[in-house]
Amino acid sequence: MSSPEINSSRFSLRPVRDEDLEALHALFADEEVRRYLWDGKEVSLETTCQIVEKSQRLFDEFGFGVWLVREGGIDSPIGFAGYWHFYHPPVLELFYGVAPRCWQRGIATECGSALLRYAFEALRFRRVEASVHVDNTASARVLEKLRMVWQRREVVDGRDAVFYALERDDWKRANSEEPN
Amino acid sequence: MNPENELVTDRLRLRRWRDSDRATFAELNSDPKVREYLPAASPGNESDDIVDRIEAHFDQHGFGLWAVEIPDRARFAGFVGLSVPGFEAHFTPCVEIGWRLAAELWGYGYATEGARSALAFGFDVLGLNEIVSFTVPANQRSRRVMEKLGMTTHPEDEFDHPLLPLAHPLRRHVLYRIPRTVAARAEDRG
Repeated sequence: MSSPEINSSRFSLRPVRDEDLEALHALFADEEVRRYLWDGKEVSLETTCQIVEKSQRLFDEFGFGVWLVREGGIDSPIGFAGYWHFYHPPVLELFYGVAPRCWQRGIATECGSALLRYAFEALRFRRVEASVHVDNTASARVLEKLRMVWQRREVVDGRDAVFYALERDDWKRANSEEPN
Repeated sequence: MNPENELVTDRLRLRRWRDSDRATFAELNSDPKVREYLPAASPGNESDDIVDRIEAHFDQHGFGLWAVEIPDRARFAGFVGLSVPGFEAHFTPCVEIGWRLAAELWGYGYATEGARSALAFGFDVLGLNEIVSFTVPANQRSRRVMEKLGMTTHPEDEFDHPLLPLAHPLRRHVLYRIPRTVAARAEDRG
């Protein structure tokens, strides 16, 4: 399997480490970022710390978790992306978040695309799922640009969400038509 | 990084399934000792169908019933892991822990060892508050594993498995539960 460090054309994605705790927490704390990711709730430093720990364990055992997104060698991350268990019972989903100052630059789409390739090729996933809050049209647009397919709208754990999925075979077909 | 996507214990590797496991699993499933408390295989419920459903579960949830490998002893010994039951009952939605090992590998504590690692994954990584397990009342061997894991059962939790016909002799089930707090205490003792 390839290294879990991923480089897209503009960005580098590195698994979150202990020393990234403050940086990840700053991203989570942003009102616009947490509006949909955490349903607007403030996230404690302890929660972020648990996420960093779980992410490291997931990388050790399964090769996925939370990656931090950086640009041009600048240390401060501009976003995060990865695969994480959401809902009860847990469902594994693609997720991402970008600092609002960097919105409208296609960062989520580029990182999502790199993570789909990683999941289907290196991790040998057969299917990737994702969901967005029904009001989060910007995020839904990202999933559609990634060619993820609308599945259903459903209230899960009190959250009105739209679910998307992409099968590996469909991803492969799309990628052979349009080589990157 | 671990290239095989697996949980590792002292004696076991809990890994994703390989196509080569299917033949061994079919053989395991045809053993009357393994089948004693399992309903008869039926169309859509043959050994390969079970593997297909396990794989689909991994695709959706990112965890599941891992294939068990015992290095130096068995390339494929059966499964141990976590799954989300596909039926409705008074305790669903929930996450269940389960196992099925080849009969010649019973009695060595492999199921308990694999299940401990799966429980830790469920509580520490998935953040679950409770994990359940169930079997027919007569399956003392499995119940013993549940008890060794620190799981407990209550008569009011007994239920009739909704996927089995009304008069089926294996319909009645006992339910065992373990909340996260008990698992944490067991780990401290461990």
